[in-house]
Amino acid sequence: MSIDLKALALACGLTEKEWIHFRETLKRDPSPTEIQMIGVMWSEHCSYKSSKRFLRQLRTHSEAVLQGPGENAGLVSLDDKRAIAFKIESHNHPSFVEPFQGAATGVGGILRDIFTMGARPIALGNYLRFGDFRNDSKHRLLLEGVVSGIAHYGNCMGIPTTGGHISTNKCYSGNILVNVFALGVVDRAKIFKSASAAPGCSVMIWGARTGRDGIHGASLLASADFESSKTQTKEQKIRVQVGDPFKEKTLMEATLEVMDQLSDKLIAIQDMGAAGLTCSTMEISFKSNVGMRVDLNQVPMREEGMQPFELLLSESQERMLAVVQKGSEAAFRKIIFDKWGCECAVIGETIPGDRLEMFFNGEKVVDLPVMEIQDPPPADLPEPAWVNPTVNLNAPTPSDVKKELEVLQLLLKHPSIASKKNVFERYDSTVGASTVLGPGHDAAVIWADEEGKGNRGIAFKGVADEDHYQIDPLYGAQSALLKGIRALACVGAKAIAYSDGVNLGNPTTPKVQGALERTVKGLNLAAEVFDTPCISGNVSLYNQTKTDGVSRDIFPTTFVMTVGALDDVRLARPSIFQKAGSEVWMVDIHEPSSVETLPGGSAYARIILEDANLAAHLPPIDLSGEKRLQNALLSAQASQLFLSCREVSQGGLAVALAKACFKENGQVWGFDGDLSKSQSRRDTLLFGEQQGRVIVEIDASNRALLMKLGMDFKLQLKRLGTVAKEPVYRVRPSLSGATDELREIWESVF
Amino acid sequence: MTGNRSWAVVQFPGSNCDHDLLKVFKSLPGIAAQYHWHEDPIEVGQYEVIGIPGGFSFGDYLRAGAIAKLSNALKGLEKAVEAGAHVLGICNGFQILVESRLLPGYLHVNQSLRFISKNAALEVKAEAYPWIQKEDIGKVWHFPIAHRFGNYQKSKIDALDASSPLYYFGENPNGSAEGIAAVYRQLGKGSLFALMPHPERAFFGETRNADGQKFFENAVKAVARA
Repeated sequence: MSIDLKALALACGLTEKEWIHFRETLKRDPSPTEIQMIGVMWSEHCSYKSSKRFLRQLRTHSEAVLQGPGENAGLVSLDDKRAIAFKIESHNHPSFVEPFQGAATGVGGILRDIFTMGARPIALGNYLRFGDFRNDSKHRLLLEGVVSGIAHYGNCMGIPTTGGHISTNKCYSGNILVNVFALGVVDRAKIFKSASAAPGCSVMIWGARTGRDGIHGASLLASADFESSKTQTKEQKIRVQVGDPFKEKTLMEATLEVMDQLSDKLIAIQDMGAAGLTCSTMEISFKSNVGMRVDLNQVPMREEGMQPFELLLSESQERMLAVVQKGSEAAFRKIIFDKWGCECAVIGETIPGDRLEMFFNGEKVVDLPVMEIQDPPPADLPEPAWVNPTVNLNAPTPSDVKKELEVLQLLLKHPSIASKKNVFERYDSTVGASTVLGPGHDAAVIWADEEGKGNRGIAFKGVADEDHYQIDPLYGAQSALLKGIRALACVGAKAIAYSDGVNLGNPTTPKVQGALERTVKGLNLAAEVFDTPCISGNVSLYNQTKTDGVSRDIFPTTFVMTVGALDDVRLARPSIFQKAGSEVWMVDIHEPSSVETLPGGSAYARIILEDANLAAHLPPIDLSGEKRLQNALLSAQASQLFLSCREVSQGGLAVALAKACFKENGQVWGFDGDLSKSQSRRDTLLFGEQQGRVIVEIDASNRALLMKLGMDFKLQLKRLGTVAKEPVYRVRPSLSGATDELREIWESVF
Repeated sequence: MTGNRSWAVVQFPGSNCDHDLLKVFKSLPGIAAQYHWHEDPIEVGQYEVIGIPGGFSFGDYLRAGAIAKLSNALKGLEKAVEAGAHVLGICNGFQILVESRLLPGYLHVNQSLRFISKNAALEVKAEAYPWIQKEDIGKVWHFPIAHRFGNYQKSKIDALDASSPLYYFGENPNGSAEGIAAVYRQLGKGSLFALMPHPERAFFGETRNADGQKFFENAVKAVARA
């Protein structure tokens, strides 16, 4: 039998250079099974070969960090006894090919990452990007499929979806983004890792049986660009896994129960996601520096006649690989199989050294030196080269003749700004009985109770403004982290750390490499000032599609998930007005003299003025000003000075004020404001998107306290108006409309 | 039964509101709360109150509650109620009780055909010992709902004598007949109370909604007096 090994290697996604390196490392011809394993291990998805040179530069340390990037999820301390585990992950390619299962298994995958650390997941968030679904029916279907898939999986798992964002842009027409975030809480004495295995233990697999789904998903689907003619073909669809949330639920409960009951016998654990058994065995082996001997015949199979490569590459969901103390296997089986009904089998043992040996029908089919082959040879990457567009502010600005009310209405209808209520109401957001602030507020707040006691809370916020990234990824990333930190401060939480979901095009181009380099730089700039390191993340590359012979990348899009804590959730501040008659003020970090006169970098410049130059003129970032703002917002927390607090973000002040009028129960407030005496250019003030601005609602009697806060933290204050009972939205002299009509428009998009 | 203050939450592998309900039970004064695994039969006199929580008991791929009704725990439930136990079925618990024919009617898919998660306003219309007192009638409580199969329809062939103590107030979120949100039946010395909304998610003030406290505290006091 003569198989062309090289042809097989190339078909499995290896480059010529990698194939040569592989053979030279082994000093022999690899077996076909070994080639397939290396094909996935060295894929972009599993090896991060085109991104790690920059990812290594991320700030990953602070006093709060208990586990940085590299494990299933990162950990920061919540209090003396508990830690927060969190991570964001992408499922872009599978969701484009098969939206329902792609999105569903994305949720399953991120939840496994969390509970593999020993943490019980307590919140989910999802961050989605589509093409223009208002005019493109295919993207309407993709949206429907993705949302249904997330709801199907997340609701059944009983983890509340308390945050998320959806937007559209033409750049996602050939590559949608589906990034899912999960967060959990773990007892600091019972944290589990994949790097803690030792020789002489049993290797067990538990959860679902292994089938033929998802084979080559990591290498040939997630690590390749699309050709528009070939997506959503049967050939691609079989690489998408099929999810079973009930199985995952039992897997989660069984795993958390053995972690609790048999914690000293569970030595190491790794969830089985991309590249299934291959990746999980190699990761444990490599990180723990142990060898492993596995009998593939012992793997519980879903169908007969499965070959070694299928067992090794299957991405069947809801499975876990664990290293347990010898002699304790029966105790594990009792909980996992007898009680929770999950498959549970001993498939091998850990051995001294670093060899991964796999047997099938008594024959050795794999014998790999893990340390030497863990990493692919350095990829030949182009020098990073990102060029920001030149901005010509002397170009004539198209004069805007639209009325202010019309502008506000158009902005409220912009998908990024519009209400996602109709989507979020399909996700269970209150299961867990701990949701303090859910969708609709600046940040999600969850009560991290201990059996109904204690007051501590956790907040999170995910941000990515692709229109900023497209102009300058450094600015986009820095701004995304700052907005997260600011949103957290608005609800009363102090940011601790973040997780980054990087989504880029084809990494073999200087431009994409440059985007990555600048993204990392931007994140570090803000992280340094706020001591908020990166503790986990994900990189999705090859978000590129070839249409009619032209390859198009998505805009660089990094979702920055900022996570923080509150001492007392009872003091969490909503982002919606609370009381008629209270005063509304703007708190601003800028000196009046330095305030930008142009509404640059705003949705207004982009979609109303349609002025590319103005849209590319991003408003300045002032890190020390942002720090003062954060300190001010947090210090106002204990005194409960603010009834509500909302950051001025996309759509500017006018949109922030309108959204604050939309009550959670479907009713509306009115707003009676007056800016007729303001010196600033009116459209800049109403629709500009300056950094470092929030609106706060206070009792009129607390005005003196607000003045003092402004003085103490050197912040500018501007009185905007009052919250009104009568449902009229008014910013004098020239903006006025019915608040319920604005709400209707805002809710009409999704 | 007096003196036995043991309350249980029945746990199926796919229950996911079990922790929430236990957390509430444990917070109630004088109540010893515990899980009851679905494989174990429920004995007469074992519990004062038995909660059947929300979730997807066995994945509910077939029909919500269709497998759970065959569990050992459910088999002994009717006898336990007749002897004096009070059953509280929430969401999936409601579906299971209807599926077991312990309560009349059906729970169809929501009118919108979609899963709905939101805060629902509920009007208290009738007394239902031990959960709702006369003094509560006329009040409006807000409990979150989160379900896909909550569209309650009455059945003509069921002769079970049941009442509807809670109705959706204002918007009817799922298309239930007359806006029925809860069904209550007295059986022997005990009772069955089932509702789609989640009172256990409106218990702790920390979550900015404590409308459900009265509901649970009623039962603690009423059963103690019995």
